[in-house]
Amino acid sequence: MVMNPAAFRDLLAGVVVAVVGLYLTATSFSYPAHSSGFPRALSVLLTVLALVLVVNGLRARKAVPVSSQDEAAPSPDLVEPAESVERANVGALAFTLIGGAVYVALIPVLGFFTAATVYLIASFIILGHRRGTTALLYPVAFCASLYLLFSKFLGVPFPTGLFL
Amino acid sequence: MDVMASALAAALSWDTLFGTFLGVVGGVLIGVLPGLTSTMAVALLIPFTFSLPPVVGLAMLGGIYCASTYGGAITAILFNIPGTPSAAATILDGHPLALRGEATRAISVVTLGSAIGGLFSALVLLLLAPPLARFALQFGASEYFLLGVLGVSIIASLSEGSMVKGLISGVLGLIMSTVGMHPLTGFLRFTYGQPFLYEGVPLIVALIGLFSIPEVISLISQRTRGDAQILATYEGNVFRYIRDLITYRWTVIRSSIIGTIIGIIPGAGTDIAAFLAYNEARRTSKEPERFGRGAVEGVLAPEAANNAVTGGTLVPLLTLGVPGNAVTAIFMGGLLIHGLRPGASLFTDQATITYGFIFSLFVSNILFVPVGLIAARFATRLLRVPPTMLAPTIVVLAVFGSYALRSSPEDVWLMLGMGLVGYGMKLAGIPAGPMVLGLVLGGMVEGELARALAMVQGNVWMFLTQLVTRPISAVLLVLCLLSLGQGIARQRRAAKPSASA
Repeated sequence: MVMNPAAFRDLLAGVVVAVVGLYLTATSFSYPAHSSGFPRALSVLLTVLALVLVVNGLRARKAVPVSSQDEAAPSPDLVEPAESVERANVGALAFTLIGGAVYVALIPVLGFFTAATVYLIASFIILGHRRGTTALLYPVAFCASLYLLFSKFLGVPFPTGLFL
Repeated sequence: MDVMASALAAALSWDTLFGTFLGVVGGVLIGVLPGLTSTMAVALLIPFTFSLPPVVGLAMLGGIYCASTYGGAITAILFNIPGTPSAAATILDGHPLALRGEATRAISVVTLGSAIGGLFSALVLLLLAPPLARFALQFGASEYFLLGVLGVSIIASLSEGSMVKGLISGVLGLIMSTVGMHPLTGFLRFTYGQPFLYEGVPLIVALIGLFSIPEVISLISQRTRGDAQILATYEGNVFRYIRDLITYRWTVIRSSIIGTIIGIIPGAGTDIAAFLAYNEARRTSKEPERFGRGAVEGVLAPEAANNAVTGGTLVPLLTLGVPGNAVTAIFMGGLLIHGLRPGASLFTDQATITYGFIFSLFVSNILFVPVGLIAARFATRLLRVPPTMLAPTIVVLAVFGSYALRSSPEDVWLMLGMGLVGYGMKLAGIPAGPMVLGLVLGGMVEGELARALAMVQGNVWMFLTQLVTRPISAVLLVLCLLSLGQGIARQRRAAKPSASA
């Protein structure tokens, strides 16, 4: 049986949130009564809502997916914003998080602004912008401007490593 | 009167005007570039305003807010893609107008209409906020508790997607607000021994992560703007089309009122106002069949309404500390950083700053007219900036902003973590708006609940009786139930066409 993708998404989300809710409820029992009431009530509510989502997902699993809104003239009824469904892009996710993590890890080594410049250059090259002007000039110019603005003009202290 | 004079002087000083101008330019650019939202822009740019004087910093943020709300219309009309979610309704008639060769007319009309909507709501803010702030002095613990609940429940029931998901998001935000010290007892919760969490999840850091990282991932996924059909360019004299504004003056006025009221209701956003105004304009038009085919009112209504939301959302924020939407929730963070607490004191002790900020909104709504029209001329060039160049730039700004707040590397990791959470929520169709409000209002909800219970010596029955018998509480309770009921009704209506085959 092929499941309606929206229903599957709801089911999965519901299960994940329910697990989080149960974990938080359990954790709240380790806090004294006067400080645990509010978070416990919320965690229980979260778990209940998640289970409702799971039930909704199960109910809708055989439904035919609704096609996207007609781009022609609006229907006679109320026009409402279309619900957007995002598809997971693992490559983009990995690039953003791993790239971001590497950048942040390099900050104490290279210094804040140097790490930012290296990150931008590397990102542009990986994402396909390989012309010298784009890949080198823009990152250097951008980070230099940020350095002047934050460090010199606004006086915000930033960590330095080997360089700035 | 002295206060007003010094506030006006503050708003018109060179520093503030320059800050406002920078905010407006930034806001228009952000509005024009698809993938960048007002919420993200304000979240990313708040750290830049830390060391600026309060009026200048707030004026800059106000400029970004007003201008970015308008800027999305330019891309909607010229390229058939909304630059910001608030311009989603503008495409319906903007696209056909451009196809008919009337792009210049559409943009001119939309620019002037947006300015009028924004100015109207700024005027309402100026007139309504002070008496409302004084009225709010009568609010006690139970009232503030219910106000917090109302804010979260409205945004949950009105946000895109199912109400259950909206409530999940809101409750997650409320739970996140319990991280750190209990507001009365000081007991540490959910900190796992991490000192940087002792004072709670830092709002700006969480918001930067929540609103920028998922957009970065989407931008990288886009790679090219192959889907942008460049329909037309803007060229011409805006003032030729003032006649349209006079012809459709009732549309402008009505949409401005709708937008302002929607803005004042905590939780309802710009896109709701835009669609509501569009539907109303169509319903009251003598020729409704023209809508969707290039009716000028069809672009005028949503754009006047969405800019009218801006001033409206600041009303509950400044007077009650309840943000009108996600953008103003971030504003709240900005206010607190400058030591300004929402409520009556903003209009008494801090009156110069507050009124200075409100006056700067008038300036913003006027300034984005020339700036926006210039941007429209260069829009084609702007849109050639590849999304894959924007994306890493946003990451750098996000890292900067998160670090600059407390000079804490842990905040940067938290920002990335929240980004991952935000992306997961986006995939699951769980809206981020309610989480923001939950995070912002959670402290107030728990604190006031604890205070209210303490006043009745922990007697829950007496507390519940108070909720129903105190007049303001009773009204707020009814509003909470109404908003949840409305959300359920909306769910039922949406569920009908997608019943299983």
